[in-house]
Amino acid sequence: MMTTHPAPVPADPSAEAPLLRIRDLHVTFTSRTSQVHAVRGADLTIYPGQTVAIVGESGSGKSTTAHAIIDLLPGGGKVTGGSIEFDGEDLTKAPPRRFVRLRGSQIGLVPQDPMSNLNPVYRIGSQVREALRANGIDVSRSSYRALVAELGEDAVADTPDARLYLGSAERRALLACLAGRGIETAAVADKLVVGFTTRVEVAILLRGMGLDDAEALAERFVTGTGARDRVAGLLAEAGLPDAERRARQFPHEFSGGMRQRTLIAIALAARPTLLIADEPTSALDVTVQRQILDHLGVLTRELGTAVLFITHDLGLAAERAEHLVVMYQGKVVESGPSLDILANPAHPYTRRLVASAPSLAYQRIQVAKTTGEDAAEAPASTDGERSAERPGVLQVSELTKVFEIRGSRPGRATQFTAVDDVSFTLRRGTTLALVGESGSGKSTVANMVLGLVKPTAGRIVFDDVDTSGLSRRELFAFRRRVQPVFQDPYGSLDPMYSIYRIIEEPLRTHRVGTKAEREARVRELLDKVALPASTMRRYPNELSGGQLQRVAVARALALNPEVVVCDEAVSALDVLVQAQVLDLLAQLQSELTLSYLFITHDLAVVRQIADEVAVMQTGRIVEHATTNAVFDTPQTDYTRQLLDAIPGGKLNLGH
Amino acid sequence: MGWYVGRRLLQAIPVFLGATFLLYLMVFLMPGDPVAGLCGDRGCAPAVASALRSQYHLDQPFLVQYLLYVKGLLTGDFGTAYSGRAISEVIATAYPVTVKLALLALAIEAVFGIVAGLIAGLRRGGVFDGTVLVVSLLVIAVPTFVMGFVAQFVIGVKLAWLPTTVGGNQTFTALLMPAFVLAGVSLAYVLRLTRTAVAENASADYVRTATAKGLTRRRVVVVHILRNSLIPVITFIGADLGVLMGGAIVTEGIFAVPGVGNTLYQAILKGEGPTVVSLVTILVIVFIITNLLVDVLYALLDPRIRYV
Repeated sequence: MMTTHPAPVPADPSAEAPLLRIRDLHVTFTSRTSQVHAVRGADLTIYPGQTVAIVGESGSGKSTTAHAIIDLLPGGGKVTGGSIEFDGEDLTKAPPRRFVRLRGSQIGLVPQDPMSNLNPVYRIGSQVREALRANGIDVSRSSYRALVAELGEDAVADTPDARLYLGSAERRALLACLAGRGIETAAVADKLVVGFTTRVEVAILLRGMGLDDAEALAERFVTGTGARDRVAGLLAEAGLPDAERRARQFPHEFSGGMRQRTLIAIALAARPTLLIADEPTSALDVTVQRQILDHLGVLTRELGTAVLFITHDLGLAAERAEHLVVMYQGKVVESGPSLDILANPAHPYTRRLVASAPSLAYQRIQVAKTTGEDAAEAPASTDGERSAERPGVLQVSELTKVFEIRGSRPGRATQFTAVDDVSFTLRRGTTLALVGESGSGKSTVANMVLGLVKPTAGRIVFDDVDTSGLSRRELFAFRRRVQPVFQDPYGSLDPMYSIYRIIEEPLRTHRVGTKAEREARVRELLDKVALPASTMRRYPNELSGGQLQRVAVARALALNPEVVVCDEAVSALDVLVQAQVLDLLAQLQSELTLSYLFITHDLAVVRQIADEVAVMQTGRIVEHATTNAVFDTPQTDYTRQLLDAIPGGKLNLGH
Repeated sequence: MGWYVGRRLLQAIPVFLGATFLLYLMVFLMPGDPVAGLCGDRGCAPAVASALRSQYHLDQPFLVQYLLYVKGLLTGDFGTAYSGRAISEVIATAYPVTVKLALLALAIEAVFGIVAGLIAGLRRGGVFDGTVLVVSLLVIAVPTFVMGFVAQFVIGVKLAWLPTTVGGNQTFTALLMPAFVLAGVSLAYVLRLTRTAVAENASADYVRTATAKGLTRRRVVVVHILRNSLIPVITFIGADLGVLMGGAIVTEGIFAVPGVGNTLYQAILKGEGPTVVSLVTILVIVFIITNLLVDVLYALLDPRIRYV
């Protein structure tokens, strides 16, 4: 459907009036104790139908700029300077009532986190219907801007009745009528979408089937929908399968991808001219991310909607937008056509961003080369050789985990196989990446390796000892040698503990050293992860995500483990911070001969850290080879899909 | 859901038996002879006393007494009070007043608590918020009987806006002041609970999304913020019905309401075991049922909750 190349820029954008023009925007957050200038002089122009991306790390002011446009700044935030001109109107001077009318109907918003952006207590359909009702939309007729243009000279298309939607009862009647004439309806049934297909489209479809009375049939059977059918149509348009039934479900019954499609349907329900997409897919798996962005691209192009796309991923931005705006510390540091910026970044920050974008990285971080030590012993040869000659430290064989799911009443429990016959060997001093989408069972494997979840079947052999037979005391000793680093540093470090206490806790639990020795060790660990010793008096809420993840690494290393299980350890971090943490992990590996079991959904990261890759799908390992082999010659379709989904992977930057 | 309700009702059986057993035991162990008080100052003649004892099974061992009582309950017979009145009759006169009072208090606590909590939660840090927080803290801190007497004196005696006591005059106006006093503490909790929930939900992502859809502020507040904030509040209010009915002893005493609280107090003073146990048993049943209803209501309010 969609090509991976950005659509051509309008021949001469300056000939058209801009849809949105932000000039020298300043936004300040005021609290009782402080003032923060989140945005300090942002400039941005979007022409009708154009896609522009704002790229920047968290705290760069990109989301704040977007929220300022529709007056959705969180408490204490205020526009303190500059102008936001939308369709010629300065929004910084508009009263709140004006925004109520603009929102939804003129400017739509696709928010960041699909899990928290739908009201959990209302059905999906009613949340979409709300968007239609709030903006006074005629649900029976299409306001498909591009429809008339698409159909060209076909004069029929231009009458209001031609834009009536097909209703669900009418669809059944039409199919019955066709079946009555002995026409095979299976093929056409898929194309007749309730609340989405219009009268003129039905007519064209029927004509294509060779029916002479196509127009008459369309006129008889397509007489406009009610709100419920239109909601189903909108959801179907956003790519939700089985939309009529799904509309009656609640958000918690939807996956993240389905929720994001719902939010897209809501944002586009009233056909706005500008769509603000605020990190719309950051919380989703790469393959789902790709599908949704492809779909969003097609939709907005057909509807002629301009898109302001906000992301921290440079590769993604370059792939999806014609024009890039790079923000750093509240300022726009660079803007221009996407490929120009990628190829010739002018600002130092952009250069760093291009250099560390994981989606654009092409090889494993080679520490031995740069530090110069152990160059002979750990040759920077190809990763395959590197790992093959090392002894295994952790062997997992035929590992299976079956969960029991409670049924509606006793005796109705069902079984769910989360991990199915998984075997691999982690060699000493190397990294094995376990890659898969959410639900593939990779985290369950990690939990079993850590001894947190008991396997249903199979063996985990650590240093030639089967861990299933360990006594409590042996398990305690085993935990000392295998340590975890988890995804969310905010959630996995106790907020009531000081950093010192967090890092010292494992030492105290395992009765290592005296108090003075433990303090010395904490200092040493902080130094290893490149944090100042003064950090230990601070608390988790005072540190950034990247700093916290360094603390988590220091905590994991406190007991000198041999294996570190990194469960999505860098997935929640900004690209630059991610690159720093990955560098740190690589460096520590070469210094301490650590072995990493690296769990991630992000293949782009894998390339930078892993020696071997095992790809998991629905609980099984479908492909297992060296990193280069997996990237260069993927063996299964699933792996190829995952590789294709890496944003920006296709952009050629001449590396 | 049907299975869940069935299981909960089954669980109510041991709760019911355990509660009645403990109550019966406590009343049995109470010092004093119930028969002694029945014949006035002179005391009963020994023959009369022993006749009364055997009539009320007081000469039997404790377990037999208890089992006879339960047997009566299961056949719908609450027994007879020592005064000779059927206990079912005592219940029939005491409960309607208390139910009226408790429902009125419940309505007051819900309406005032939720409205004030909503406003305070939306304008957190404002003057209104600060005022209601201090007032509600005061209401929670001051004992009910102090509140009751002060209200009675100021509103009933000095200003004469409302009747001072209830007695036989169980009208809406008469019950209004006791209901407010009874609702006081719960009202303060409902207010604070609503305020916290509203403040939390007001900054939720889905509320921002609702605003971005183009909804008016009023609709965002009522449909999204308030509706979601009511989930914990309604759970609290529902569970509070039992507390209000059982906890009305002090309030009923101050305003002379002839309800469960007053009757129970008198029965305890007189050592009327069967009457005390019967009145409290019904309270226990009310608790069990309201708690079950609250759990069911909770699942209806929040579709994410599934009972299996």
